[in-house]
Amino acid sequence: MIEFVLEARSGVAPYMQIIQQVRYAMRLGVLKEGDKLPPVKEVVAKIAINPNTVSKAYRELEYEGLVAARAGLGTFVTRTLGADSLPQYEPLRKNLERWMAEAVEAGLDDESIEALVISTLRSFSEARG
Amino acid sequence: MIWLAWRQSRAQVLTVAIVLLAFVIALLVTWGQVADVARDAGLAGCQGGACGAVSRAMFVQVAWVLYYAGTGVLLVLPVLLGTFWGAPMVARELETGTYRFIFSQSVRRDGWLLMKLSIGGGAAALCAGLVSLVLTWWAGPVDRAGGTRIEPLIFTARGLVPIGYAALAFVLGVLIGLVLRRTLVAMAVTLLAVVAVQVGVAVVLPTVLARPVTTISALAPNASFGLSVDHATGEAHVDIDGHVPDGWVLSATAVTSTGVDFHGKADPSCLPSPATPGVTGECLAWVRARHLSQKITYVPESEFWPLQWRGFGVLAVLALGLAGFALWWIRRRLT
Amino acid sequence: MTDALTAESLTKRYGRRTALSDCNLSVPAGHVVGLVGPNGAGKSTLLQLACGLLEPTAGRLEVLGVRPVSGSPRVGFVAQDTPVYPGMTVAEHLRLGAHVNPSWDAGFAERRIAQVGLDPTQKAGKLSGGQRAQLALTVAAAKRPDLLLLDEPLAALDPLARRAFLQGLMELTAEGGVSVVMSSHLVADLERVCDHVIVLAASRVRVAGEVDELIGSHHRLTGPRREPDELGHGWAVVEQSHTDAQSTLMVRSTAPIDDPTWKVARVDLEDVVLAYMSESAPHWVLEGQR
Repeated sequence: MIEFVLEARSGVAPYMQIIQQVRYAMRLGVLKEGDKLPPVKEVVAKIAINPNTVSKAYRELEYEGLVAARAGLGTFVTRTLGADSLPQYEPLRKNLERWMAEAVEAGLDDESIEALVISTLRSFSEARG
Repeated sequence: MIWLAWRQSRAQVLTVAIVLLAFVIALLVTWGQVADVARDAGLAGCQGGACGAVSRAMFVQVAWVLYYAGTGVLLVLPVLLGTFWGAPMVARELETGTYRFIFSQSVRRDGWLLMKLSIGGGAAALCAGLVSLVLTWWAGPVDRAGGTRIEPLIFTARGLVPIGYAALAFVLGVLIGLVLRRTLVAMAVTLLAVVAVQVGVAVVLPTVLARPVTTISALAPNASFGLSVDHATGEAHVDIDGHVPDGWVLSATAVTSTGVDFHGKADPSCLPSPATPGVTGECLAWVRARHLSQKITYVPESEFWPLQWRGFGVLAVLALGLAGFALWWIRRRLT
Repeated sequence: MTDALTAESLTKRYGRRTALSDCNLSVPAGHVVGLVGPNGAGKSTLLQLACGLLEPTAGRLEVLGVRPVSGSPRVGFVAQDTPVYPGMTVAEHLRLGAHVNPSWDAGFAERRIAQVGLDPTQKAGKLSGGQRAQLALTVAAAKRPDLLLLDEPLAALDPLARRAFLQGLMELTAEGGVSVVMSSHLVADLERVCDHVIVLAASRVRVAGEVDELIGSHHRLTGPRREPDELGHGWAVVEQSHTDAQSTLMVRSTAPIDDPTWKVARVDLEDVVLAYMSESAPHWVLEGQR
């Protein structure tokens, strides 16, 4: 079962972090269709956060169609992300690899590349609104 | 709730109970001795002051110590109970803050206090009662012989009155602790308050609640009396040394044949002069010629048990009154 | 659902000292409410008023719809420095709870004691601060109250004990049916745990509302130096600081900030709370929208 981690000063709301971690796990294939999400009580007993936060995150995921709550049994993943959607993004991945080669030639090391990607993504997202 | 009240006070109650129980056992063990001595010395059939000397001469060291120890213990017991049981009971909870723990449980404040007062007050009364009644019975022969039971000091340590004092002192301590909210201060104030109450009640009780007896008898020829003369006015006052075999004297005055207290101008022979120190023969003759009587007001020994009941009643009512006030206070405010 | 706590012009004075002054609050049930403020702000006083240990000087206070009375089975209270009876063991404390609370859940209490690793035969005076806090919380929670009031429960705890306490508390709230009001002068712990917050400073309520709503409606603006009255309508300035060239403002606004000369940044709960706790904050009361 997936275990959540909360980053206190990340600037991202706690419930959002849970949603992101579920989506990320699904993308990586750690969570597959039919897998059970940890019950709210277990989550809050491990990371001390408000149970309403977890409920809110699970509800949001349900609204997005990624999970479904089954009365009395728990919340289960209803889709599988990642593995079968990756082939569509193959051209994007190739582009990215080419860009990375350019970055390495320009003299950037791994850390600098990562920092560049993250900061560009952030400002791009903010500009997009 | 009963379990809680017991659990919190069990250390103090057990300590006092064990000490007192040891004392009572000592009394019971020596009873055989006391009974034998009383029988041999003829104390059993003895009444009045005449036996006093006999009783004193006959008692063995151990019994004598127990007699004084017992009276002392009962005199001091209310002070100890009030100061060490009563005062800390609520004051400690208020001072250490544990009242915030217990009063956030589903218990009414006054219910909690009532339980504590009942358990503590009941234990205090029981301890004092057991010691007092055993001591009263044990010291019976000596008291009867000496005729001193009705005097305030012994009276306070016999019969039912110690029970009243113990309960009152305990409740007083609890109330003082509740109001002052600091343990050590409450203990000090309780100590003073209980002593004041004991002294006050012991002195006031016989004068107010007893039915004293007044006798007027002629001044015997060889009776001892004191004569004081006021130099300025020449007024004479006769001080009667009233002594009654089995009773407690409240007042003893010299009265004239009409029953009025005697004052009068002193005979010149009674005025002191450098030549004749002390009382002259002429002065004595002058006094006798006045035909004075001695009027003695005293509380007789037969009043002992009625006065005990009345005294106990007063103390019990006071204790209940203070308890009621404490219950009202805790309902109204804590800090 | 009845509010957990309602206060109207609530005032409490000790002689000449005012602990709470004209407080208005409306706290919904079913939430974990953080009561934040500097030391001496009146947090302890408010909690003790809510559990009936103190009486208000003026104004009205209702807890779960009724006037607070001490010894209510529906309200549990853990006081500051978690008082317990030092001479009694852990098991005896539970026995006390069982004897005195009609709604005592003995199974729950024993499970919790075992879960937090307390030795039932250990005297409470010998417990560490964290263990005492867990014991006090267990006793308060085992009577299954509708409202739990906690007065600075984390203050004397080390980080590990704090985490353990919060984990236990959150597990309790996850079971449902209990509202929690928890006071603290440290904000950091509260953001992850509370979904409603009340800021109390200098005996007054500065702001109260749902955490998400407060974070969403407050923004930090940075831009060239200008006076606050030059701003448009719909913004309320909570905090401001200026240098020669730059102005930094914390504003409350439900409308979007259109002015491009301002750089808008997200704030977190600590920023909002600190802004309202500072001296320069305006003295009005804001009620969060539900």
